[in-house]
Amino acid sequence: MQARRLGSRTVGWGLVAAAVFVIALVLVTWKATSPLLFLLYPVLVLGVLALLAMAVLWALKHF
Amino acid sequence: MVTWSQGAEDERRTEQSKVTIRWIVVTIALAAVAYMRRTGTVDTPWTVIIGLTVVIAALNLGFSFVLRRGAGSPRGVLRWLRYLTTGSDLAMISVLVGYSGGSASPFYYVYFIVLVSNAVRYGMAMAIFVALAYNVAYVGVLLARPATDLTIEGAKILAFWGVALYAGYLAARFQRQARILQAYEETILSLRARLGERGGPGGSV
Repeated sequence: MQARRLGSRTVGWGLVAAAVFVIALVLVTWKATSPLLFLLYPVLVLGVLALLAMAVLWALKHF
Repeated sequence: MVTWSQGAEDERRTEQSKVTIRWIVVTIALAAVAYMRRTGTVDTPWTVIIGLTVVIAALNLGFSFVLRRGAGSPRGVLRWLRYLTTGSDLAMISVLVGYSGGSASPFYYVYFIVLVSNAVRYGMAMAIFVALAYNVAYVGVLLARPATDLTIEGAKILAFWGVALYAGYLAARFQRQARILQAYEETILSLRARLGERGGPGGSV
């Protein structure tokens, strides 16, 4: 069975998504009008980390 | 290799030590609240102070009981217990923070004790769990006691996430090093045993 490979396009879109998440983090922190918006933090923080980890592992030819 | 029962025993000991630490931290924190209430630094109602003391004492006794009774039980029981104890700790701290000034509470930093002590013991997964539970609980505190500047509160939550992820990363590194060390020890022991077999009863070649 052939191993699934991650394409450079997927990684590129992942990095774009990570950048969007970082901007969203800054905006939520800066312009929050309700504490409920802080509930987005787990998704955004873990999303950025996961996407960056994917890009780093791809750059290191892990997959 | 770490056996199943050895892992369960390690986990039981870890949780038992958390019970002891909880008694110490709770005694100090609640004594501090009572003192600050008397001096007028915080406006926490006495009913809340007494209620928290009773609930935390009951929970801690309950955890102690489960740990003693569950010493030989399947490891799964202990696996969820660690999340239950940590979640209840964070919930109790949130009640204390909420009733002692909300975002301006002097007890805010107690969250970090729970974070560091659990992350060091259990690693990255627990660090993320603590950050997640804290995030939700602190939003609850902010809803109950609205803060004047939400940007600062957002930055505080993000800072907590940063500390949690860094503590989790360090714990994961320590755990990996401990595993490598253990593998070395096992190799040395097996080599010694082989040498002993070759060299006869005396063990020398």
